[in-house]
Formats: sequence, structure tokens, C-alpha cells
Amino acid sequence: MALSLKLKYFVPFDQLMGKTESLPVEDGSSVQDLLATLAAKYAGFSQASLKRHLIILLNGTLCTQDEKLSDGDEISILTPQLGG
Amino acid sequence: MYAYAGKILHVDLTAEKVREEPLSQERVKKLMGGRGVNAALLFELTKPGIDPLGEENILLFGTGALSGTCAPSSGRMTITAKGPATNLYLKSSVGGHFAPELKFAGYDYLVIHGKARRPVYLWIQDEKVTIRDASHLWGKDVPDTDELIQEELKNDRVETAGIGPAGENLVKFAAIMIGHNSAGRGGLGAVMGAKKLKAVAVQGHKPVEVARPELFKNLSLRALQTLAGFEGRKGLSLYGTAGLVPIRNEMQLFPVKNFQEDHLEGAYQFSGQYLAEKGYLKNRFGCSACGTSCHRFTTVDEGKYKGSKSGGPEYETVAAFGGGCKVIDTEAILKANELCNRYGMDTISTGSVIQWAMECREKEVLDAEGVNLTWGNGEAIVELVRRIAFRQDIGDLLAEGVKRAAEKVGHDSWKWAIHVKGLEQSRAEVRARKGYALALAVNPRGPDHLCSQVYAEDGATPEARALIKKICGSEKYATHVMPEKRGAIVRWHEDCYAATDALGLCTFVTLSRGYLIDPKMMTEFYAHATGTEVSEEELLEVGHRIVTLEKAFNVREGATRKDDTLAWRFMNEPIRSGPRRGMTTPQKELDLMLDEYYELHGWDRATGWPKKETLESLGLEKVAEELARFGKIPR
Repeated sequence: MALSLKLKYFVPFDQLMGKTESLPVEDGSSVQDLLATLAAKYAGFSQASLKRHLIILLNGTLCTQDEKLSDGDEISILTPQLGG
Repeated sequence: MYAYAGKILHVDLTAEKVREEPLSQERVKKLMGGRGVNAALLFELTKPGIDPLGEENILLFGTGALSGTCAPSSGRMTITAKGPATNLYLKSSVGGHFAPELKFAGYDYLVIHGKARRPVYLWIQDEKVTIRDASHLWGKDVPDTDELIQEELKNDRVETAGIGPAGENLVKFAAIMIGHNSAGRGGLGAVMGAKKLKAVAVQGHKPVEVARPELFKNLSLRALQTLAGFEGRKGLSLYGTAGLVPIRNEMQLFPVKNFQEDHLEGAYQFSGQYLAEKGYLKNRFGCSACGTSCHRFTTVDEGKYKGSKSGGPEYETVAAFGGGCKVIDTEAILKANELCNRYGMDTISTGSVIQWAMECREKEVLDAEGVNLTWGNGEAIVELVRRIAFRQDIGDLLAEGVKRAAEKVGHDSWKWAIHVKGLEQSRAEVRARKGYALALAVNPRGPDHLCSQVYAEDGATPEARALIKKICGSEKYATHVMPEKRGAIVRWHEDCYAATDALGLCTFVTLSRGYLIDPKMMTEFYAHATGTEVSEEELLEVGHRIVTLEKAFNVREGATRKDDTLAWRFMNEPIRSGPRRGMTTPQKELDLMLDEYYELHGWDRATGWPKKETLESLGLEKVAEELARFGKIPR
């Protein structure tokens, strides 16, 4: 069974991947698996981005890349944008 | 003395006299530069209890140890005085090109004493210093002042630090403006205005010499390469700090309606992304030696505010006027930003007093003649900015800041006056972020993000989690909802921020989320610049010495543990919605964090005062003697 996820992309990824998309992934997938899927789909979403400086919100809360995904989850992908 | 000009310039406006003092090796060894030496001079050259707007206060401009070199983002300066908003220690770090220019002109530090009899400005060119009449500039806004000074000096290459009408009118949060940059917080512009000093203009031609030029250049290139690969820097370059709006909003950590809510539909309309997409953004620019260019230049080309043009807006500006006042009106926000820069006012405090006034109206304890203070009214924020700068009607009340204004308005208005020590808070939701809460409570100048922004506690990136493990011994403390170990996290960040400011580096390259130029690289920069080796521990000890000096200044002024607190709202009103619904940072939790924090600093838990042995171990024996003289050493 595939999980249906709602993905939201923020600067600078929104330029590459748009602001939102729905994406199916395999049951049992983790956040890390999702990032690998995105890297395969979008050449610019590099492996380097997967390892460093990435903030992932799972249903509005910070999570690690080991977190398992569920059907209907909303995932926001952000970078640590600086501010002040 | 490599990397330094080697001199302090003293200007006495009362006596109209100028003198030079050699910068001693002892000061440099203990405090490196910028914020550190400024803190020592402020402590030594002022007496407790003086009026911040009186003749006895001094105003210090201190360049960083690396300012004027090619180290990335190293052109910053610290401006320091006793602050009119808090009656306590005040420093503000500012970018642009003034700091390198002052050093090229022959001075690491400029100290302004006394008060001029008539408006004056200072002209410093290659060690020649003149005090010039500024009667014709008094009343002019900041861009006009800069232009008139350049015309008068027949020189369009001078750098100026000046004030607008807000500084002249002693608005408690008036800023000192350096081009499009602002030393914004705490009312340094009012200190300058009280001294009748309209501006300082500077130009120099003597380059800064470093001890090991080839190694220094290679290190700078390595640092630039590291920065170039960082996604966060790319976002900062594209959209500026206002690019943070959609991110904070998505995380439901975006303060709305004077911190009553944490998310705003429509906030995108004042984000950095929107300003770029819709053509408001006309230019990007950076400070001296910067490879990021986070600054913006924006214009409004149509409609009611047509012709508005200014540097910015920054995240804190759009968050204060847009989120804080619930104004989803891009052009009104841009106009309010322009007027703050033109009149020389801190956008954080200006937005804060306006949203406080809007909440006062909502709760029926305040009204303003001719201004509709309803949430979301863009026209009101523009009108109030004008009235505050010129102290007209309600503007006179608001120009005093939220603490004093709440004392006058009475009722429960103090409960929604979001300040600590008298300074309005920057846009941080501290009910959900415990380390951030502690950092704002203990910040010597008041609650904002530029003395110790503890992003790492979020544990959002592998780098952040690694840093938390280094500080606390375990990654399990990398979560912002936990009060344990916050003392250690804040203490580390404070020391590192102070060292960053002493070197004249920008915190965007050293301490924000990426930790790109880490303390080890900072020691390498210092060693190649000055020829003096320092360890990472010694660098952080310099930071600790600076933080302790700043604390000592406040203690001598009468500050105690009770001054290290949070705005009432954060301790008593829970977050109303979102994933952190129900959270507060109550006094009991703050006390737990304060105990750990004071202990780690070697400060007394009961009073918050530095212990004698702590001061002595940092080489601050004279500070200990001075505090003892005033009975401010804990028993």
C-alpha cells in the first residue's frame, strides 16, 4: 500500500519543486526515504542537501529524518533561513 | 600592532577638545576589540546613576579586531552607551562600511564625551579631526543629512553615522543610522541627540595590516567556500531576512497581534519572497567584506505610497508591523519601514509600541485622536510612526517605550507591554522555546536576539544536534521545550556571540543555524591577523569576560536577579493554538534555568551578581574593587 503525503517546499526549494505537491511513497517509509525519493525526482535537490542544513516539519512539528511516515502526513521542507 | 590602528580617539563636545590615547596591548589581550573594549571603557569612564541623556554619559564607537580586513563579513562595529530605554548597559552592533573607514582613518575607537552647546557634526579624515557646526542640519532626516554632509565636504566617499528627527526629539528608541544600516536598539540615537551631535563623518586611506597576509587570505577564501555551500545563506541572499516569514509562520512560531497568536494567514504578502516576486525589491547589497548581501533596497512605484524607497525591510520590521499589528498591507509596511529609517527609529520598538497601543484600544484603555487603532489598519501604523518621531499627541506617549507608556496608561496595560528591563522584545515566541526564553531574560541590554540566539536548541539540523552534544554531553537536550541544560546552552552562545562582536564578525556567518565560522576558525582568523595565538577556550573566555563586564555595569546600576525576567504574557498566558497550545514559561521554570545559568557563570544565585573570585579569575580585579565599593559583591 502506498502512503499519500502532502509536501510543502520553502525557499530555496520552492524555486525548484514548486510550493506544494502530493506524492505517494511506499508503506513503512521514513523521512529519509522520502528525501531520497525527492533527490531522485529533482536533480537539484542534491545529496548534500540531504545531509546538511535541512529542517523537516512533520504535521507542523520538528522531526528527525528517522521518523516513520503515515498516510495523510503533511511534510514541510525548509532550510535554516537566517533572520534578524 | 597588527590588525589594529592602535589608537582611541576621545572627543569632548563640552570643551570642544580632541585627544588621542594609545590602545594598550593589555586591553586587546583581555577583550580583543569592539564590544569588549567598549564595555570596559563604559565601566571605567562613567559613574553609576548618571542620566543616559545627560552630559556625563559617553558614546563609544568600537571597531572589531578584524574590521577592515578581508575576513568574510568582518566589517561590523559596536556602539555602546548607558541606554535611555533601560537605564542600564546598552550596546548595538551595526554593519555597513563605517568601521573599516574609522580604522583606515587611524582609530580603533571613538569616544564621545560631554554635550555640545549647539548642534555639531564630527569630521574625521586620516587622523585630522574637526568639530563642525550642524545647525543647518538639525531637523533634517537621515538621507538628507548624509547628502548635505557629502555636498559640504565635497566628498561623496565619506561614511556617516547620524541621527534623524527621532534622535533629536529624544525618542527612547531612536537609532543611529549608518547608510541603510541601523544601530537600532535601546535609544543610542537619543544619546547622540542629547549630545547635540548630528553625525560623525569619516574617511581614511591607511590599510589594515595583518601579521600573516598569505595565510589570512587563504583562510578567508576557505571560509567563503564554506559559506557558499550553505543553503540558508542562499535564501538570505535571495530574499533577505524577511525570507524567514513563511518559515516561522509554517512553524507556528510567528508572533501575531502583540504575541496573542502564532500564525497569520496572508503573512506571505510581506515576506522577502513576495517583495522579490512583485517587484518591490530593486537591489541587494552587503556590508564590508560580505559575500552574502542580505540587505535589500525596496521601492513602492504605484498607489498611495508611491515614491517610498528605503533599505530593508528586515524580518524583524515586517514581523513587528505586519505580524504584530496584523497589517497585511505590503505597501503600508514598506512606508512605515521607510519612515523609521528616514527619521532614525528602531523598527522593533516602533512596531512594538504600536501593537501595544492597538491592544490597549481593543481592551478599551486607550484611544488616539484622529487615528483608528484597529488591528490591521495600515494607515494607522504609518501615521503613528510620524507622530512618534515628532512626539505629536499620542506619539509623545509612545516615544517613551511600552514600559513607561504602560505606567502612564495604567489599568492592566502593563500585562501586554512586551518588554524586559524597559526594552521592547524582538519577535521570538519564548513560551515554546526555553533556551531562547532564558537568553532574553538575562540579556544585559534587554530582550532581543542579538546577544545569544540559541537556534541550536531546536536540534533541527545535524550540526545543531552535534553542538548541543558538545555543550551538554548528549543530543537528548536538543529540544527547545526542555528547561534542563538551557543555562549551559545560553552560556556557550553568549560567550561565542561576545567573541564574534569583539572580532567584528557578523553573527549570520558565525552563530546562526549553520555555525559556519566556528570558534576554532575564529581563533585562526585572530592569530593570522594579529600574530597572537589563542585557543578556542581562551577565545570563549574573552567572551565570558565581556559578558561579565556588561553584567557588572548593570549590577553597579542596581540590577539584581529580579531584573532577569520575561514579559508577563509569556509567564502567564498560554499559547492559544497550534502544536504548542497551552505552553507558558512560568516563573518556576525560569528560576530553574536562572539557577543553572548563574552557577555556570560563577555569579551568585540569590542576587545574580558576579562573585569576587569569578571577577578575579577573569582578570577583572578593578571591577571587583569598584563593585565592593558600592556593596555589590555577594557575601
